Amino acid sequence: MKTKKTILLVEDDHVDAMTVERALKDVHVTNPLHVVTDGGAALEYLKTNDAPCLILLDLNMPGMNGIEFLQAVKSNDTTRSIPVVVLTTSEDEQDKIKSFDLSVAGYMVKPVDYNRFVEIMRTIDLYWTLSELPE
Amino acid sequence: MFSIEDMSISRKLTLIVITVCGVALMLSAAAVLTVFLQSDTGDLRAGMEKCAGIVGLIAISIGMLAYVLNARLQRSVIDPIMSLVQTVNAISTKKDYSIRADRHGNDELSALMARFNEMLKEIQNKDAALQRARDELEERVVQRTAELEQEVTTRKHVETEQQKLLQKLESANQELSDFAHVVSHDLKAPVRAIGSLAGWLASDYGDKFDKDGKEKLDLLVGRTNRMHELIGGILEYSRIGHVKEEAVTTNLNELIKDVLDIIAPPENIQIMVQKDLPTVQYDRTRMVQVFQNLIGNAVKYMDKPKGIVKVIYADEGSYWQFTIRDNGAGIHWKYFDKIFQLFQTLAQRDKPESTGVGLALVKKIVTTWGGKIWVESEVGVGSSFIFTLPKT
Repeated sequence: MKTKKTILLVEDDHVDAMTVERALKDVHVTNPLHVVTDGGAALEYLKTNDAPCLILLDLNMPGMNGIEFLQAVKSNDTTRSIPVVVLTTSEDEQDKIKSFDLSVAGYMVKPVDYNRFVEIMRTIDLYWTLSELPE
Repeated sequence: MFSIEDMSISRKLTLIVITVCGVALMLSAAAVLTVFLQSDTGDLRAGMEKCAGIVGLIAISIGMLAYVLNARLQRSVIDPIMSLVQTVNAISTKKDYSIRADRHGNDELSALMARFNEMLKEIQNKDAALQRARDELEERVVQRTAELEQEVTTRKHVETEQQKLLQKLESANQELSDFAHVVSHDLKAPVRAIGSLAGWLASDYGDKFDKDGKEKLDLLVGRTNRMHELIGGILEYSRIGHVKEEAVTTNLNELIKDVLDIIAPPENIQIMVQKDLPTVQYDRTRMVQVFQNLIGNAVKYMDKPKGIVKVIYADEGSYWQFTIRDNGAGIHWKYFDKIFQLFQTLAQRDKPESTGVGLALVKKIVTTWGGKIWVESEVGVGSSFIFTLPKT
């Protein structure tokens, strides 16, 4: 990653969150990872903290789901510019359309195989090391 | 003997002439006599005066008789004609065909009247028949209209029922789709977690496990992968026929090229595809699934060092027939039907690739499109999977 800022993970499944954490560690990403388990908590975090450099977002969450969270984030001036990468099990076309409609920076489908998951994290890290990010 | 009624018209007219002549004669005789009487010869005059009176009287009586006869004769001819004229007028104005002409006597006019009356009778009958036919027709029209109205009502009723059914079907479809979606997601999450955790146990505590333990962990991971694939397969299977398909013009040679990229067959297996495969109008995703499964199976179950898989087709008029032929392990005839059933697999259960969904999926796709699929095979020699596709 180009910066040392926090990565925000919005994910309700405990094991999936563990997977992301472990995978980032495996690709030597040292940015602090903050995990929240629903959209509401995520919005709260964004209000009261510095903007993270990247948001990893799960779509299927109870309460406020990923799309609703995305709408809220993208309609707020302060949080709009934070890149969001969707990390979901859903291969549903509608979900893809809605996500890109709301300007996500990427859409990754969670693989079952952990090694493939690591590859995904490696790619995300690589991309956001090459790409510039706003301060 | 002497009946005026039975006399023919010509005789009547002749008699009229005769009587007129007779009258004329009488008058002329009377006139001659008058002249005679007025002449001045003495004795002739005396004798003549006596005769004159008598002749005069006779002349007058014959004259009167002739007049009366004449009148009767004329009446006998003219009256019937006048009566006919009146009758025709009456019929014409009142349009009443029940009126009949009066018959006077027995001559030709009377015969004409009779014929005329017969004709009127005919007209009256035909008129009545016409009226009856009209009435009948009207009755039938009324009946038919009532029948048609009934039909329309019934049809409207049927349409409403159909609409209701369609709506029910649509909502049932939607429910199924949502259900499948939710189920697949909710089942996949713990499967994924189990797989990840098993993998981490193996790598983090690998040194604490003996060979047996590590093998068990491998099996655990293998099973979770299999389960994940099964869930995906079931989801796909349940979607066929319920999710809206988009018929796209697809060139099959191109499609199979893409499929082969996904399958990535090993070096020892040669895939030969007929060069002029048709261009079809079917949902592309489903098409890919069909060929990917069939060709993929041929590759998966290849047991010969040099594998050959052929993809050929035949144009059978109203449909195409595709064959995927391999020189692989072959299938025993007693399994020919079984293999197309859901979850039936002939490979060992712990072979990770055999979920038993593939052929069931293909069969469902093909039959939904109105085609058929079957297998011809010989153990040790190879198999031919054949399916038909209706031309759209």
